[in-house]
Amino acid sequence: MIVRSRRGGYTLVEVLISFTILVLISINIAMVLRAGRAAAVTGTFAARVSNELNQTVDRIALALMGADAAALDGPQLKPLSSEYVRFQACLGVEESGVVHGPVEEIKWAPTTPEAGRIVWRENPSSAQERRVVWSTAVPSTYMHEVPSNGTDDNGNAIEDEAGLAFTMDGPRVDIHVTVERVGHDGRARPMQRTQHIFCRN
Amino acid sequence: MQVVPRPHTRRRGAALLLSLIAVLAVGAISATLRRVQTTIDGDQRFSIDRRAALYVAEAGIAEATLAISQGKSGAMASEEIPAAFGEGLFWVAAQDRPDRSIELRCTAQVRTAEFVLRSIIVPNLNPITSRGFFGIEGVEIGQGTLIDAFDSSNGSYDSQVTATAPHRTTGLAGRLGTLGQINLDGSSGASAESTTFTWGEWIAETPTDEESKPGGELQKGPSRAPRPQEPSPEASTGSTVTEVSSTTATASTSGSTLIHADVEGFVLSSGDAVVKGVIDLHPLGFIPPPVLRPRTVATLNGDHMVTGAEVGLGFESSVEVAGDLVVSSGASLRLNGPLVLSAEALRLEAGAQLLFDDSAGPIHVFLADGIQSGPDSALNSLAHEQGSQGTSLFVAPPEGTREHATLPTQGRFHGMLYAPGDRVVVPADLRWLGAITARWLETEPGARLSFDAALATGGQGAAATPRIASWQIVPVGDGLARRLAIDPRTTLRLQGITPVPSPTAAPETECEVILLDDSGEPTIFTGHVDDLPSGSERLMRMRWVDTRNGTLRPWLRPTGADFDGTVDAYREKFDQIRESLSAAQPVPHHLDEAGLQELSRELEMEILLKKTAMMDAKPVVK
Repeated sequence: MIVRSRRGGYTLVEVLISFTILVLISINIAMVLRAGRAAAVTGTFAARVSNELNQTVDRIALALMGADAAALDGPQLKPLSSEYVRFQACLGVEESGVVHGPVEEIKWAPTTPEAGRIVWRENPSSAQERRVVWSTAVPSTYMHEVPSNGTDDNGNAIEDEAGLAFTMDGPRVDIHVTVERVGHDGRARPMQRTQHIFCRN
Repeated sequence: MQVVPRPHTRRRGAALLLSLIAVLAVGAISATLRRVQTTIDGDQRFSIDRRAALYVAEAGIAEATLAISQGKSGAMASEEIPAAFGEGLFWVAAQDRPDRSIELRCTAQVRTAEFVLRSIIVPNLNPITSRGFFGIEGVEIGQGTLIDAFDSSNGSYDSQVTATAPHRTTGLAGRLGTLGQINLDGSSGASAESTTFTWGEWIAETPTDEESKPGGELQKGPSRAPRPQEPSPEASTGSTVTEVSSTTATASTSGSTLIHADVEGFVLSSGDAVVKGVIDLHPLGFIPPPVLRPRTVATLNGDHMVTGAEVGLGFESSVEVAGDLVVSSGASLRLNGPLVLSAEALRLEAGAQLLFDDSAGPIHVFLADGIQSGPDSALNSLAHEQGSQGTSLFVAPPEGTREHATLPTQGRFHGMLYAPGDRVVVPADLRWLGAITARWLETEPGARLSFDAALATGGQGAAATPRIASWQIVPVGDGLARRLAIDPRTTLRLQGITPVPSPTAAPETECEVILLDDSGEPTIFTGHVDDLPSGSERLMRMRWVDTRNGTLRPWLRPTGADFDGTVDAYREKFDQIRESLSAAQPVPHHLDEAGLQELSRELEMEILLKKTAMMDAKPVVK
């Protein structure tokens, strides 16, 4: 009796079919991965920009909350606005009276004609000056605002405001910040936020 | 039969290996993406929690400020057993400062963030007496006037004197202010001519002692405009020295000078003034509180004439004289506290004497038509300054034309005068310890005024509320807020600790109260605040036992006065609510809106509840 042994391997048809199925599955997986990757990149990018915007606004707000309202310089009444604010924080009260900290300044500083950064300075223009950049992606004009046309284009009752703008309404100071970064697809994505604060001192 | 061995094919497991590698790769990618997303989520959550922690910290400061307004220390809960507020926790540490203010440090924790705020609170600042000697439209200080300060809570003025020559004084900086102009070496009794300086010149450089030449005018810096008029030589009386010391809004013992003035005002001097210290120009606004007629129990019709030596008015401790209160020539009237007195005008004829004894209780005098004093009239306070409960004189602004208030020509008075519509001249022989606020304040040459720092807080006739003098964020951790690894509420739950509710977080519960019972006699209550009798007519003073060290906090004087019976009205409403709720039956089942409306009709809540917009839209009661 002859026991025929089976030869290992696949037929050409089987290989072609399995290869085709593998390719189709790979294409689907690649599409899903690409979509997921794009979504992840976009989401991560948006979250980064949002985080940067929130951190910047929070830093400005917390700095101004402790400022002496009587010594605030910069914010204007609407529809005007200011690109800077100069203030002194109140450190406490001693026998001689209220003790103020050094002069601090938050302003928008241009790096290109269309963009700039938000810079915090302590003792500005002095030998003891310290400075920290709080954001590097602030455009020269506020979101949806057309520059230098004398009108309020974005409906916030402010005319021609910059990417960083300070306004005041009675004792309240409004902080308007726009952050704009270029995404992975080359498109600029701006985000804006307005924060209302009251100087506690 | 031929058996051909079957080739042995080994199962290598290559597919399993490949699939395992694929699974690991996918797992690694997933973990990376998860890590990135967790970091982003963590940053966003921390940003939100940090903001929430800031608000909880501000709520803690507000709770502590409320406690301070009640005379408590301001400390709230503790780090071991914090107070709960919303989704966060907080505790407040309080520290008394030498200038009577209180420093608060509030730590708040919300989920993953911890925020710390520091604030300095000036408790129950009386908006009138805290300004010391204040002329709303202007101040004129006569030559040789001395203004200094003392603190009656530490003892009498004489016990705090540190110098006797060339003037008897405590050496403490007084308090002088105005919204208008200050005229040093006023023209009263002097023929000196004044030299005018513009406000901008005055604040350009701070004058120092070196800048004032003997017998000359006060000099200014190089940026001054030419003076319109040079002082005449007769104006220089080298032997006359006027000392004016003022201070900042927080009582200062450093001798610094602060003159409140608006930007339109200016300082005038004939050149004989010596201003010690630094003039710190800090314009502040001041809206004079209204002068309100207090509620009284008894009424005396017509004028009341005092012809002999009278003690009291023969009535209860709360009396209104429907006409004028007149003290005849040579007569004397002694008023003992506690007393609320209302009259049209107070007239002291020549040689009349008015005496106040507020050792047993505060005295509140309201005068609708001013004070008129004749020559040789006297005003005296009998109580020891440290034991004084406070004498407050209120003169309402004139509705028509009348003479300005004239103070008695001599005496020694400890208390406050508020006459926002009058020009008040303080005679040289009337020793004034306390505070004066008038429309225009003037002192005769040689007058002596001493600001009592103890009057700056609490008091009667004006709402005295806490004021935030300073507010700042205390950096913790790596920045303004600290990241917490675990939710603090979870930590407390695991430790079996229940945080205290925010409204009851103040530790003070034992108190000492001086109150007026139904018979009008002062009585003292000591014990738990919940056991305080509610039927007393009036509460005069109270203080709390500080649980941090077992000592008694400073006395708290009640602020304001019940001018329109509001307190009684609220008590009546509260009793009605209590009766309604006591008579209501408990509801065994859950009620819907219709059921609640039906129940509310039975409770007759319409007259008790304040209407809201929602109630206006759907009236609950027919």
